Amino acid sequence: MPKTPSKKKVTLWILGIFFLSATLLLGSLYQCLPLLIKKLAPIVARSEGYSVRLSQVRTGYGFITIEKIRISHKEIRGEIQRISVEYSLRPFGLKEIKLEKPDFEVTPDTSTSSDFRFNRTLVWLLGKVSIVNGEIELKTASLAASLSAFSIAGNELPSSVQEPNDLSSASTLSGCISVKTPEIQAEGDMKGMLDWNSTRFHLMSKGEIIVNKSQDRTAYDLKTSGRIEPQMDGLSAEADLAVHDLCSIFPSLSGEKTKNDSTGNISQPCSVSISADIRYLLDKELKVSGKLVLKDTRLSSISGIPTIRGTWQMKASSDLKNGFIDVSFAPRELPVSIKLAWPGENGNQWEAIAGISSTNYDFSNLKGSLLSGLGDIIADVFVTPDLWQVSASLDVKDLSWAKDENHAFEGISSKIEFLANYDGSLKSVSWRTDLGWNKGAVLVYPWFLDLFQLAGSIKTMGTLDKNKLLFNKISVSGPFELMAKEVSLDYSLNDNAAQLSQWKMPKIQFLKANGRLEIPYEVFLKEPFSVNYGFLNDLVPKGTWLVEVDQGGLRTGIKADLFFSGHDVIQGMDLDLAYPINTDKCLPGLIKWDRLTWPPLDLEKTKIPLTICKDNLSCGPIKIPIAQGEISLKQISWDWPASSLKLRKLRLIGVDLKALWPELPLQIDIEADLDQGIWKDPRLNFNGKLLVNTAGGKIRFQNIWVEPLAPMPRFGADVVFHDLDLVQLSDAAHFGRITGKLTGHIDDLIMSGGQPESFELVMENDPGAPGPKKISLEAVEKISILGGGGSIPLFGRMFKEFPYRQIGMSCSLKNDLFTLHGLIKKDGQEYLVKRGFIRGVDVINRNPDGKISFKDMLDRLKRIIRTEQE
Amino acid sequence: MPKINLKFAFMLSVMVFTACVTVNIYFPAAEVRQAAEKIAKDVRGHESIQDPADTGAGGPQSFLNFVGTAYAQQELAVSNATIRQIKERMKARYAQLAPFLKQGVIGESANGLLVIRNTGSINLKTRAEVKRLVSAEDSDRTALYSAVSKALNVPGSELARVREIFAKEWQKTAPGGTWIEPESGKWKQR
Repeated sequence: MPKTPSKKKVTLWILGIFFLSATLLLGSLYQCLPLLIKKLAPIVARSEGYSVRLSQVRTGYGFITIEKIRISHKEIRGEIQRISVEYSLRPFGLKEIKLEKPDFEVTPDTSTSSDFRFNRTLVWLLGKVSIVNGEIELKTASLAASLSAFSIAGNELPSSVQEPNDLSSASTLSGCISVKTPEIQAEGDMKGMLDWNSTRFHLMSKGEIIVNKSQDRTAYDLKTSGRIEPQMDGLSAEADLAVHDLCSIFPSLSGEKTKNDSTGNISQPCSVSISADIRYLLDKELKVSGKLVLKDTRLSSISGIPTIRGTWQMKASSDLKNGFIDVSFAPRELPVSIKLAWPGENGNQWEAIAGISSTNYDFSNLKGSLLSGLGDIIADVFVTPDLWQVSASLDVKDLSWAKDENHAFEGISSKIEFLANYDGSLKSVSWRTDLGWNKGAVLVYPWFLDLFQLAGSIKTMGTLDKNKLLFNKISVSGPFELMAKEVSLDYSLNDNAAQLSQWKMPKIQFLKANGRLEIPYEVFLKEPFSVNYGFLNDLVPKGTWLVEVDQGGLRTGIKADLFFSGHDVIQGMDLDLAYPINTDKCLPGLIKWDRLTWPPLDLEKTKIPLTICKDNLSCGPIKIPIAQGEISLKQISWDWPASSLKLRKLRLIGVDLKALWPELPLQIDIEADLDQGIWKDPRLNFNGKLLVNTAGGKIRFQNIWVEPLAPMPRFGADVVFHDLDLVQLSDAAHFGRITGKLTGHIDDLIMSGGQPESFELVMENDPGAPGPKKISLEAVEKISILGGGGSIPLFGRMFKEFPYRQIGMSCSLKNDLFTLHGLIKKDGQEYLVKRGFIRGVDVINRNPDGKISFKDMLDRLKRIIRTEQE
Repeated sequence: MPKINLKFAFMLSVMVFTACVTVNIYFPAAEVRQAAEKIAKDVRGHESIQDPADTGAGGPQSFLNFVGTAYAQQELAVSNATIRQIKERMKARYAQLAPFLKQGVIGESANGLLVIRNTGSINLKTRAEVKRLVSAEDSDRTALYSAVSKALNVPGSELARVREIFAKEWQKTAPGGTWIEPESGKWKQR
């Protein structure tokens, strides 16, 4: 009976065979591992769309080495010379994956999708990768970028990198980068690191940028740091980006020039920093939201926008032809949103929508605008290649602004509506505006407008094209009413279209405006000019005005009554003035009134015809009956381009001043024959003479001139008089009684503001005049006072009248100093009055070289007046 | 030798002739200063002025008509009808200008004109009024300097000196709080 093996032996045999088999199997597997890897890896990669070929695989204790790995994919092609995987068996774990000389070319194709997931496992895996001398080339339709000679090594911080210091598990990167676009190319080195635990990264690149067109070169220095966060649905990253030395390529980024005090060099600060939150879903969209900060740049000085916050979204598509951008930012706290969408090759057009919307926006946020106040702003712009529409609404409250001392407004409350359309086929813009105001004040010196009193609105609509601005309709209501149609303004642009080269006079088909006269008089004349012309304060017009423009020209009508200091000065005034706009013809006008009362003048119904041409205005003949006589003027013409004012044949015929002023002690008749009056700034010179018939004699004025616009209105003439009856004159002046005839002249008489400024007077009695020559005691006394004093002896006072042989004196005034001389000189004495042959009185000037101040002369005249009153 | 002597004589005579040319330059600084002092004091009420109303106005029948209105004028170092009347106008305006000088709204510049210094404390309507007042005052001052220069036979080229002398007087008589410019570009408050 065979011996049955014991259960224990059987068990030992089975275990022995099992371990032997297992050992043989494991040994076989270990021997076959390179073969397995070589065969299985292409199969696994193929399932992911990759074609992979491995030349040789070697395995050993704790390592696997793969030689010459060729990878081919629709988007990626290249090879890796060697992959070394190092691992440990006790404990089991991956130590390092080393890629030597990877050389890849990447051609992205966004039309295909991928299930690639950037997750924590991948991050852990990438943290084990080191690369030696790699090459990657990225090619798109508009970009070629390459990263060459790059290496990634774990935990080896280059000495040049100072931060971040906490990258305990960082991989460092170094290499050379090259980027080429149709506009620029950039070449430089790149260094960086990535902490695989915190996923923080830090990248730096320095190099040179070349502008393809100009071959201008500039250095760049780019630094960026941030964090990459793996997400379930993609990758998000935050990054801070600083770029320096880009301002020479993008001049608009340049800031204000500053001077370095120590070196005197000019430096241009140019600082752009970006922090962005990037969210990239491989097959769906790319979304970037973040902040762009422009410090000390020209852009920030122009827009006053130091920070732009925005969101940019783009649907993944080939060559970016399908997508949209959605940006919102708030320059100076003004919320702006922009949406740009382009349907791409299958769509027809791109379109853009921009909007601004803000309630109670504080205008003081606008840098450099000098504005302050609040307002509601709503604006939308819709743009396609062929059409754009703009609608805007602005409702401002208490808005203030000041450009300088002469131009400002404050407390403005106003509402503005604006709507415009651009039609690409017509190449013109049609627009409509509606502006209303009801509060505030405007200063356009010298005019000040109180908009509460002048509340109103203006509505306009029209079109704008390359050479013409056309107002189809303008209507104004408020302080005056205005309606205009077809007002066009032609202009031309300079070659660069940056500025208008020429404006032309507007063409007006029809315009009509009218209103009360009181408001424009108050605002445009009285308030600004009454400081210089005080009479404007006393002048009050009550009436209406009208302006009409049509093909015939411009006509202005004023119908009013004028009041001065409460008195009715002109009743029924009617001004009908015209101006030829669209024609070279001269147009007639008319000034008329029913009654003019300016004491002592009182003129009834008067008409003065006018002729108005493009460059001049003329009126005449004018005949105005006055004081039992007549003033006539053949013509007065004003030529404004030449600043020429001419009067022709100004005549006064039989004007009796006593009829105007009955209280005049003398009959005074005036006749004038002034052939011509010619304006030569600031003086109006007259050719001709003015004759005054009074006291039985004549006074002739010649070389007459007036300066009506001088600081003090001035008048001048040379005067000659003769045969004036001294009896009438002395009686009229209450100067005692003198008989005889007076003759003399006044040279260079100048009156300023109604007061004598200078003259040289010579007067004497006419020795050949018939009749007695007597002078009263009172007259002698007054001449004596005028001469500076001197008392008449008691003996002399016994007579009331003295005979005289001659009276003669000269008097001049200059700089408020009078000089008085007697004309009769005998025995070294100057006589003002020389006595008769037997008796009489001598008035001697004892101080012939003395000058009498204006004040002293006034004192003397006052003494004469006082003596008369006593 | 004689030729040399002739040349020498000719040159000597030319030198003698040219050495005899005399250029007289006279600027009547004392007179201008005296006029400026009197005008500034009179305009700003530092001397009592007789009320023109006291003198009465002559009727049109009297050739002494101007006596009444002119009597209030003070005797000046230099004067004429234009100067007197401009001065009267400035004096009437000074009552309106004084508060703005005191507030520092307007200042006395180094060239004898008023300038607007600070309008921050006044509203737009008042600013317009101040500007009009300053404009009118400066217009009168310019006319005044011109009239004084003409009366003293000061050539136009020396007008700036007349302005400077007047500027010092305006600054001296300005009320407290007024901004003054003693030297060009250097402002201080009185």
